[in-house]
Amino acid sequence: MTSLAADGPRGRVRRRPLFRAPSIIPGFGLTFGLSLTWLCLIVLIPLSAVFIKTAGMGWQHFADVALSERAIAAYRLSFGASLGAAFINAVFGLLIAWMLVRYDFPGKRVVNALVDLPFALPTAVAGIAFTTLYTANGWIGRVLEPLGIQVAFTWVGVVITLIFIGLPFVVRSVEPVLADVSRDVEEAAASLGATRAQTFRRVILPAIFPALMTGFAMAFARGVGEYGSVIFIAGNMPYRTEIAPLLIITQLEQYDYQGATGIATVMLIASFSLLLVINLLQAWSRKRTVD
Amino acid sequence: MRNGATSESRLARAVIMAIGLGFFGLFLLMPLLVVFAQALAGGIGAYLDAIVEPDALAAIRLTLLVAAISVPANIVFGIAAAWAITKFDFPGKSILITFIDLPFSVSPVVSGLIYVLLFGAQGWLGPWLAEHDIQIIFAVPGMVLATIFVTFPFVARELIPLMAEQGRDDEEAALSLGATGWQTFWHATLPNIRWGLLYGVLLCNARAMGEFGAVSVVSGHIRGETNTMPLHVEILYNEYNFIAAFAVASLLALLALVTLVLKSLLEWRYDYHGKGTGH
Amino acid sequence: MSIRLDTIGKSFGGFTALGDINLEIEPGEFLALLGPSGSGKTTLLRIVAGLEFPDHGRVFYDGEDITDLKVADRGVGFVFQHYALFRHMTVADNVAFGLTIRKRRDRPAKAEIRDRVQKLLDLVQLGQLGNRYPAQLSGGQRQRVALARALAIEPRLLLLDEPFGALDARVRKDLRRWLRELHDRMGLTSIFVTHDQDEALELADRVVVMDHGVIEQVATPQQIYDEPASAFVFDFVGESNQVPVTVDGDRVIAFDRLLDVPPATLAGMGGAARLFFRPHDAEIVGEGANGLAATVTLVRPNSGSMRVEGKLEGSDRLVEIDVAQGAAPGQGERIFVRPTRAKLYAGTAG
Repeated sequence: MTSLAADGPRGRVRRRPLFRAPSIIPGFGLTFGLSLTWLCLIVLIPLSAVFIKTAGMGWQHFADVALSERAIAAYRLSFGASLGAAFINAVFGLLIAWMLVRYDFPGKRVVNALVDLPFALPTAVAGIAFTTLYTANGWIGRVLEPLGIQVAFTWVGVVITLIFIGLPFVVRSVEPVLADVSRDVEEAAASLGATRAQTFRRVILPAIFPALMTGFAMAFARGVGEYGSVIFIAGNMPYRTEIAPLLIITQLEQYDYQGATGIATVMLIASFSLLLVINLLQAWSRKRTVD
Repeated sequence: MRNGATSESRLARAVIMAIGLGFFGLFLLMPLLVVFAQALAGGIGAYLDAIVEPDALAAIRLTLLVAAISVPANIVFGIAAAWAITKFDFPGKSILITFIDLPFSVSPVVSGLIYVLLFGAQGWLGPWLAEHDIQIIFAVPGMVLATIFVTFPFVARELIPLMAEQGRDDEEAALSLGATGWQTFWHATLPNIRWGLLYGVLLCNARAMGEFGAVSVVSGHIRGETNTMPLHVEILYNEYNFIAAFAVASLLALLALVTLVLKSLLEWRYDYHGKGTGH
Repeated sequence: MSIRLDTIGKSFGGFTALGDINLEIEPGEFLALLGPSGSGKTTLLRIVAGLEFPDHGRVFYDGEDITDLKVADRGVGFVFQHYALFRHMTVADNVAFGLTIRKRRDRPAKAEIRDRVQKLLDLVQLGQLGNRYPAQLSGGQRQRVALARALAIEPRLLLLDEPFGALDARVRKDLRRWLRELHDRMGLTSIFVTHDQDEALELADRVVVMDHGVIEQVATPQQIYDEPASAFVFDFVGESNQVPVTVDGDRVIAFDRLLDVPPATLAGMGGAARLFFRPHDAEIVGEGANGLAATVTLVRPNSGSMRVEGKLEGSDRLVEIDVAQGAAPGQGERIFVRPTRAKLYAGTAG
C-alpha cells in the first residue's frame, strides 16, 4: 500500500484549494470576496438588526407590541387579503397563461408585455390609479356604487390591488410549464377516451400544479409585504383597514421603534417561512418537469 | 397550430378569451389608462406646469441620482456574484443564492426599517454618526441604501441561471489561448451574457426609480430635498392635487412602459427569455 | 378490424401533406407505412387515429364511416413516438388511465382494473414496475408501458408512430420481434409508421411506400424488394445502382456504349430512361461483351462476398456490385459490368 502511494507524482501536484474545487478560471477570491462582503453589509447585517433588537426586548414586551390587538387585526388583513388575492390570481392567472400559450389572437404581444406591468409600474402609481378607479365617481366605482358595493377604503380595495400586484407571479410561473406540456400527452389522453375536461383535470392540471402553487405562494408572499399600492385604497383605519406594513410606519412615526421592530420580526418570520415553502415548491416543480 | 383532438370547442375558447381579456382590461389596462386620463384632465398646459414645477424637477433629479448610484452598484455585485457562483464549485453555494434572493421576500417597509435600526438616531451607529455629523437616515444616503437593498437580487438572479447554462467552456478556451482573466471576461463572457445583463438592469432600474415603501421609511419627506418621484406623487395626491400627482405618476408609468417595450424587444429580437421573475 | 381510406387529402397552409390516398387494410394485417420524412406517413396514421382530420375523403372502420368521429370515441390504441407517458402518474396509473376515466356505468370495478393492469404489465414484462414513475424507466421499458397503456382499452386497431425510433439498435431488434408476436397473439390489426426499411420489411405483412404525400407502392415486403413499382421505391428500399440510359428499340445505350440488359426489362420503353439494378444482380463480363465500363476504385468485403466499387467511364457516377470472394478485380483495374436483373424507368435521372 505504501509503495502505491509513493508512486504518485509527489511534489508536483498543485495544492488543491482549501475551500473550493480546483479550476483554471481566475477571479474566485475577488468575486467571492466582493459578493460576500457586499451581501453582509447590505443585506445580512441590517436584517439581523431586527432580530437582535427584538431579542433584547424580552418575550413579554415583544408579545405586547407584536401581538397586540391592533397588530393582530393588521396581520389578519394583510394575510387574509393576500390569500384571497392569490386564490383569485391562481384561477385567472392560469386562464391568462392558457390564453397566451395556447391561442393566437390579435394584440397577443401587447397582452403578453402588459402582464408584467405590475413588476414595472411603481407601486405608488398603481395605488393612486386603483383608488381613482374605485372611488364613488371613478370609472368603476361609479358602476359599483349604485349596487351598494364599496371597494375604495374597504378591505375589498386591498384585495383588488393585491390581485394586480400578484398576477404576473402566477402567469409567469405557469406559462413555461404549460408550454412544456407536450401535445403528445394530451393526444394520448384523448386516444384513451378522455374528454377535453378529463384531459385538463387529470393530465394537464397535475403537470402544472407545482408551478401553479409556486406562483400562488409568490403572489401571496408579495401581497403580505405590499405597502405602496395598498395604502391609498385601504381606509387605513386601525383594527379595520390597516395593513401590517402601514402599522410599522405608524409606529415609526410615533418613534415607537420597539413596536415597529416587533411587528417587523413577525413579518420577516412569515416571509422567510414563505420563501422556504416557495423553494420547496420550485424544487418539486423542477423534479416534475425533468423527464 | 393545435388540431381538433387537443383543442377546446369554439365556445369554450371564446369564453376563456372573453374572461381572460376582461380580467386583463379590468386589472391591467384600466389602471394604466386612468393614470394618463387623470394627468391630462386639466389640459396639456396644466400637465406641463405640474412637471416643470421646481419640487417636481427636484424629485426627478433625486430619482435619477438614486438610480444612477444603486443600479451600477448592483451590476458590479451581480456580475461578481454570478461569476463566483457559476464558474466555481464550493460548499454552501445554494445558501448563498438564497441569501441573494432574500431582499425580494422582505416587505419594502421592513427593508427601510432595518436601516433606521442601524443608522437612525436610536440605532446602533446613531450616536457615532451624530457625533461626526453624518446623516444617513432621513437623507439621501439612506434612500440609496434602501434602494440598493430592494433591487439587490435583480442582476444576480438574471445572470446566475444564464451563466450556469453557458458553462465554463468559453472561459477555459480563452484562458488556454493565453487570455488574462479580464480579457476572458470582456471577450468570452460578456458577449454571451449581455442580453441577460441588460434584462436584469432594465428591471433593476424600473424598481430603483419606482421604489416607494422602503424609501418612504428612510426619507425625510422634505420637498425639493429628500423626495423621489414616487414620494412626490404621494404628497401631491394627499394634498388633493390630483392633476399634478397624476402628471408625475404618468412619467413613472411611461418609464414602466418603456421598460416593458425594451424587455419585450429583448425577448422577441434576441430570443432572450427572462429566467427570473422580478418583483 | 378492416380499414378503408377513400381519397384522403390534407394540406397544411399551402403545403400538400397528403394527395388523394386510397388504401384498404385487411383485418389482422400488420401494415407498415414507410417513407422519408415529409412523405406524409405520420399524417396518414394520425388521420386514421382521428388525431387529425382530412380536408377531404372518408375513413371507414369495418365499413362504417367514422371520419367525423373524435379520437376519444374511436377506441383505437395509439403509441406515440416519444411515448407521451403521463409523468406525474405511476406506471400502473398510466396503464389504468383509459379505464379509470370511463363513465361510471362503463367503468370496471377498482379490483378488476387493478387485475387488468397487472395482466398487461405482465404481458409487456414489466410486472414488478407498476409503482415506478416513467422517469425511472429505460427507453425500452417506457415504450412497453406506452404499449400496455394503449392495449388497456382493448383496441382492435393498434397504431404506432415510429415505435422504435428512439431506441438503441439492440433493444429495437428485440422489441420488434416481440411486438410481432403480440400482434399475432392478440388478433390485432396494426399499422406502424417507420422510415427504416429493414423494420418495415422484417415486420410487416404489407408495406405502403409513401413519398411526397402519395402512395408509391403497396405490396408484400418480397414484392417491394423484388419488383419496385417506381424508381423512388427502387432507390428508397434496398441498395441500388442508377444509370441514365437511352432506349432505342431493343437496344440500350449507356454512356455511348451498347449495354445488354435482361430482355424482360425493356417492355415497351423508348427514349431517355433510368436503369436500376441491385449490387448483387450484376456480373463482371469480358471486354467483348456489352457491359458498363468502369474503373475499380474500392474493393472491400461485404457479408460473405466482395463489394466492388467503380467509377463509370464517361461520368462521375459510381457503380457497386457484389462478386464472389475469389473473383474480385484489383483496384484501378478496368472492368465491365452487366446487370443480370434490372429495371428501367422512363425519364431522366433526378
